[in-house]
Amino acid sequence: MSAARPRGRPASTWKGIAVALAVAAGTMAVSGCGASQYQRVACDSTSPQAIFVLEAQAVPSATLIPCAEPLPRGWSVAGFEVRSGLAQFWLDSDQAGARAAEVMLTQTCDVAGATQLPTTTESGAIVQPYEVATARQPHTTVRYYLFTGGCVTYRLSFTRLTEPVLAGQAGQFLGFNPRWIYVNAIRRDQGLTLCGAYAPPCPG
Amino acid sequence: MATDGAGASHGQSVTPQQGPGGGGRRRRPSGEPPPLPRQVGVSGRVLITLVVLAIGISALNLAVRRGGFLFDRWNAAMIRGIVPVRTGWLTALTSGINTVLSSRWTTGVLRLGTLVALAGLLRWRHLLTFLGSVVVVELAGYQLSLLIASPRPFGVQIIGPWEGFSEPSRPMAAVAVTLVGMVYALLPAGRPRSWGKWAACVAFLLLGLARVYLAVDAPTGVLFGVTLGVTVPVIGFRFFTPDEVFPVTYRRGKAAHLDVGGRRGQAIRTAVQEQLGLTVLDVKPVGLAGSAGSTPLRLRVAAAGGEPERDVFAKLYAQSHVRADRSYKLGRTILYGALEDEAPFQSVRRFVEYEDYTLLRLTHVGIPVPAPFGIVEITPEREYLIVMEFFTGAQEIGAAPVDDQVIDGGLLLIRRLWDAGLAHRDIKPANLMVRDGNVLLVDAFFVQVRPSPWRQAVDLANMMLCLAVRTDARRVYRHALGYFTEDEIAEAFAATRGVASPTQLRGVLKHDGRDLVTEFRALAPVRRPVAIQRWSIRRITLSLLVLALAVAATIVILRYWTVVA
Repeated sequence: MSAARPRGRPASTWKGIAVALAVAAGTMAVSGCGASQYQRVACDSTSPQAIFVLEAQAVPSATLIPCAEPLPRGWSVAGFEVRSGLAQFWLDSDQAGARAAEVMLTQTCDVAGATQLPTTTESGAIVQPYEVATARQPHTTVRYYLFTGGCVTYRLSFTRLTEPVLAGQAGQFLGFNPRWIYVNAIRRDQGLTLCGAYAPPCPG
Repeated sequence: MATDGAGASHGQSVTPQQGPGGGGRRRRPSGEPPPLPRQVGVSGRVLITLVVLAIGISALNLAVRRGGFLFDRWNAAMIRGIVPVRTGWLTALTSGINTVLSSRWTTGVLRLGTLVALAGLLRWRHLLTFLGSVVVVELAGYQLSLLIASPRPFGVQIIGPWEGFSEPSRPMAAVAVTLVGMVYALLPAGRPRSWGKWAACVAFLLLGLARVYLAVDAPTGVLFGVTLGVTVPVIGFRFFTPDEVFPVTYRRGKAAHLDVGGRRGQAIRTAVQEQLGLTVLDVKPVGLAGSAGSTPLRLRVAAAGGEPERDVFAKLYAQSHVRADRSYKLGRTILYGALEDEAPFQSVRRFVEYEDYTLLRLTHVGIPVPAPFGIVEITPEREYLIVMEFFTGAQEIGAAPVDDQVIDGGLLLIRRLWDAGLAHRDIKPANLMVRDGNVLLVDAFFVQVRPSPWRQAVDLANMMLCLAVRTDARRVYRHALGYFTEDEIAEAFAATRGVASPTQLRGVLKHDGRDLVTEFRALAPVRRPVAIQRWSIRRITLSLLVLALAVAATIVILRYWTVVA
């Protein structure tokens, strides 16, 4: 009679395989399932991981929420930061480098010394743009977009003089969505109030 | 019975000594629980709950965010219930608590202080575990928050500062990992650590309530953050720095080994009675200061079978010892290559089986070691006890008089090891006992069968150094020539330097002040030093793997520095 021999892999091997699988699954879950940075800030994004509701909470008075229109080749959304009072995202350019364009939403901006540009309308809201004179910022372009309850600062790491093509592209991809879209969506989908502009007053 | 200087009896076939008595042995029938059944315990249950909570909340959050937004509605309802109690002084108080406890400065100072303290105490393993826990929690919290992408609470005014998505609450996770890490890294197990845990719980409760009151966090975000921040360090410290092997203590030596009181103490008594037939009267930990690989015990056993009441020695091994052995061997392989290049043990059972075998093997070839009485199963596959003879009346060689008989005994012991194709690999004063002029050898755990010639040579040199510390090099050398050739002694001292000697022996030599290694080399024929560093494919692969892991970890930390810092 032959002695019974243990069959299969030893327990430690299975443990190792289980740990490896868990790590792989965790890594995939964390890195693979997330939306791309562009999807988080794209004006037409339907991703549940978009940052617009959070932006609306960061600056509740803002009636417009900045977003990114489709990007030309060579541009990519590199990151974002949202905290109470401020929401911003930034873009890298393969020509102008990292953080070549920054979009920042705050409640107000200091436009003293900036040149007022012609008024525009974005999603039905009136927007008053300003641009800081090149003489004051020779290597960067800074524009302000003032609207009811908020202001977007748009900062480029180049000027029309140094990078005319990039400056033309950069003029295309800053977009705005009206805040009421998100207020209505939260009310419709969850029966809750996204406190701030276009919403009824919240308690507290 | 006549014995030689090495304590072995002459002219008898050596068989393992049987334990005294024999009555009371009992085979455990099928289906009956072992002496110490594996129990999860309170901390284990808490840990399992935490892990289930962490996974459950993550999964629910991910699933629900794409579905019915159940969490948001529930959170909103909870916070709406709190809003009516908002008052000026309460808002000021909660804002203060939130500002102080969740500030990056607070956690930064606490973390830095802990790292400095651990570095000062030379607790590198605890330091790395603390640092690793912080990095893992910060990165996991950040990535999970991006993945879940949960906004701040709806339906109420948010009256405090916040940053980023809300699930899990990263400030709560940061505070939790910091405080729990400090509790496990700095406070000794037992009452101090228990108090520390309660204090941390109070801090979590205060901060959590404050953040929900201010509506900067939702209740589920707070719970998720705390769960993440507690689970990671608890698992990390339990796995990498188990108290049985790496205790936190502020006294000399290693005081905290496996607790041998309570249920375990009773299980040891029952198991030794049923499996070896010995009635244990008392269980006492002994020699803990010099032992990290096991929990050494002295068992007082009742008189039986013609033997008087006496002491026996036992070593308790647990799974944590296997893990420690594994990482110890990995470290030695990377640092010294072939010096300690060997496969680690895979289970506790293998530990005790190996030690039992080496004791029997040594006894068989006439080396005076404690006679093994047997292996006792405490918890199958998790805890075993190996019971052996206790050298009553023996003194450590460092405290015993060393005369010519002792010198010859020590040298003969090495000669016998050589002749049997064995190496002890841990020859140091703490493992050499003297009784009635005979040298006795203890701790056979590191014994190797058919070792490298280098290993055998090191055993000889270490033994000669142990003997010379108590006498002088010339005298020991003269005696050694009776058992070894000049070339063999020259080889021994060509092979021995620095790390080749056990830490305790190096300490004794340093304290002695004489350069005994040089004195022996001067007495022996000239021989070129034997290289200690040996390279092998395994060493290179392991070193590269560890290096790659370290580089990857550094890159991750640098890339997410703003998240981690």
